[in-house]
Amino acid sequence: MQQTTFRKKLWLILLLLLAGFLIINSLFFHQKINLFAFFSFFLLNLVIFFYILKLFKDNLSLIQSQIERNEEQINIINVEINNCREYGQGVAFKITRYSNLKKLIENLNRSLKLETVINVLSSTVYSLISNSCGTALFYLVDHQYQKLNLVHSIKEDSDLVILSKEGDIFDHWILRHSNQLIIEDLKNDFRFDSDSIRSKEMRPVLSLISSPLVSHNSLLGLLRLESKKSGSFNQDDLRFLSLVAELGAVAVENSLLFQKTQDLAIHDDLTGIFTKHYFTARLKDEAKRCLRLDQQLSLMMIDIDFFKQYNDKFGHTAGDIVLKKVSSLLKDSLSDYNSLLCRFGGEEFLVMLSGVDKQKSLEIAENLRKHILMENIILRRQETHVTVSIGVANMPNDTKDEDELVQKADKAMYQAKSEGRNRVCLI
Amino acid sequence: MFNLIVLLIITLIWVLFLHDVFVCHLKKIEVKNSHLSDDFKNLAELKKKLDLENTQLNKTFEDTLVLYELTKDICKSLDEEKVFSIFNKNLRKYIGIGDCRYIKDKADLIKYKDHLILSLSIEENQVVGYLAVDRILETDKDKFGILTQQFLIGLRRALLYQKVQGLTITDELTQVYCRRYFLERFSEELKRSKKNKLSLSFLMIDIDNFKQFNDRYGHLVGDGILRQVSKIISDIVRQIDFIGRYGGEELSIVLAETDKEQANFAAERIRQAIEQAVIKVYDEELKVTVSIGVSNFSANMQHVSELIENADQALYLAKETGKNRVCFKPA
Repeated sequence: MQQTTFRKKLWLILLLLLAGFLIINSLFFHQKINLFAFFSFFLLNLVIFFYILKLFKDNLSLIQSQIERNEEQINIINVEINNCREYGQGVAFKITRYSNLKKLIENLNRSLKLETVINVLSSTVYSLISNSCGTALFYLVDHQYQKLNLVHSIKEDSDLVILSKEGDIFDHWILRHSNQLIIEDLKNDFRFDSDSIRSKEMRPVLSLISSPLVSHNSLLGLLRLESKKSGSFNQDDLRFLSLVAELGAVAVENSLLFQKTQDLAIHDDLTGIFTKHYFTARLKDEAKRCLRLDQQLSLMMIDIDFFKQYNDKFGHTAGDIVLKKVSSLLKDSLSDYNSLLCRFGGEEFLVMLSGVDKQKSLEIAENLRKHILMENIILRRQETHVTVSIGVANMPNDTKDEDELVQKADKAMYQAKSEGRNRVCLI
Repeated sequence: MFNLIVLLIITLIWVLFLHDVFVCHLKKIEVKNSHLSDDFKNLAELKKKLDLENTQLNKTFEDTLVLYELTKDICKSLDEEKVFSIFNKNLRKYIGIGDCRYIKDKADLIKYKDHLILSLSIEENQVVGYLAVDRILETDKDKFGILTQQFLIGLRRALLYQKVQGLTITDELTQVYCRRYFLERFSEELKRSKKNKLSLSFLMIDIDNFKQFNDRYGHLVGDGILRQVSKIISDIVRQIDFIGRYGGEELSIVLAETDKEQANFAAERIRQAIEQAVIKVYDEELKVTVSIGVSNFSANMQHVSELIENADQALYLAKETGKNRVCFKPA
């Protein structure tokens, strides 16, 4: 660069020197220049000047267009790089968000309590998607009454009262479509009439995402996040929510099944009274208590006479009906006493009467026998009867051990059977 | 003459001067241009690097996401062996792993001494089985952890469901007998009929276009329809008949001491009752119809499965010939 400037200066000085020489020569030495020659010299120089200028301009425009293109590309690539960076940040954010899912499944797998599962699910989405703003709601479907039940809510504003415990129009939309819902801005959403919603004096909601919990074609509940501001949620949030809902559906189903197993372990499914398993556990406690407090405890073993023949004659459905009938009769007649009733075996019932002495329990048993004898069971427009044999045993008179007590009551019942059935026997 | 030569020299120098001026200018611009293109190249490289990073990030993200999305797949079945086989299949698909076995009995663990053993528990501290894993890549440990949790959640579901099925006799949704209990009772009833030389009929009832109802109104309404239809049928049949939920939208009824003609009458009554009923589910008022397949117990049919098979064929015929009708198996 320096060299060219130097050269340029040299050329310029030479040019000026020669021009000066020419002027001095023509002025002082009267060497006349041919006008024509001078004119053509001037023209030639002009032509050369323009020619070089043109060449230069061509080159210049070429390079300048290149520069422009480069600049443009640089701008584009800068924007792209920014996009890339943003995208990368987005993905990194998603990765950290999804990495929480592992913890979520572990937590879900750790508990079978419905309450805990619901709590874990709601708080996870509330903190990860809503950044602990707005409201998270969890509904469970009540199949019996065909409605939704709000079971859990997390609110930013603790004064906010959620009036619609059975869900609002958004929740019903999901029930109808069995699909997830995203409303980015309620005012711009043609599916819902925002004016009519506002006039219903609902709590202010402008954006929400909500996903149903579906397991094997059956809808278990809804998980919903909402915000007073519009545009709080995007498709990524919805995707994450629906993933949590998918996991949650299985977890909720597991807890419901677990509840059911616990319930079934306590209640006999056919008759609705307690099971043997539960009864034995209670008997143990009760026997201990009675011995300590020096109270009496009586046990009645009740067996339906000729149940097998009845079954054969009328069918097992009829047998089921009889079992249900007898257990409801027992339940009603024993409700006045401090009693516990269980289905001990196929057609055997066991009753525990705590604080009742031998004489009184005999009376109760006799009343029960008569009561069942009098009861008509109508099967196919035909009146049928069943009778029962009852064995009674008492603690501490007969024994002080609860297992033996059951055996004694059983023995007494067999005695009643062998004496001709339809009677009450004592050990 | 001398002047002319001077003029020519001036011209020559003029040309050189101009050339130099322009070339100098051009060079300046060119340098700027080359700087710009260098910048561009650097930026392009940066972008490439970022892109690569992003695709890698995305890949790790998609890789883990895919594992979380397996819940539905793994929890599809209610049979523990099937749950495991789906889990195992996915394990092989996404993770480099030598061997993975699901072991129920603690005694079998001795066979897998060199394996990594994981215990699986359903309720707190109650171990139901073990996973024996062999040769797992260190980098896949995380993924394996996620998949195991998915397996555990599915396994819990299957085992709990089985437990409930073993204890329960009524279907929660429809309040009729569940399949297991129904089949038990069915074979008892068949034995009794054989012994006492009584007739017996078996109905298989299927709600027409149930899938469309489900799609159009949602699962909840579908469930409601099923419940209402079961209720209508329960109210209409005799006390001694019993109803079971056989499949998703299929109900079956055993009509004790009922011959072919009576069964046809009963089935027709059920069909009409449902056709006439307005089914109210949530805020919808719907009309549904049912197709009924009937089979009848006779001396040459000894088994429950034959009766079911025949009723199923009859039901298929009813569906083929226009739905909302009662059919017997074609002779």
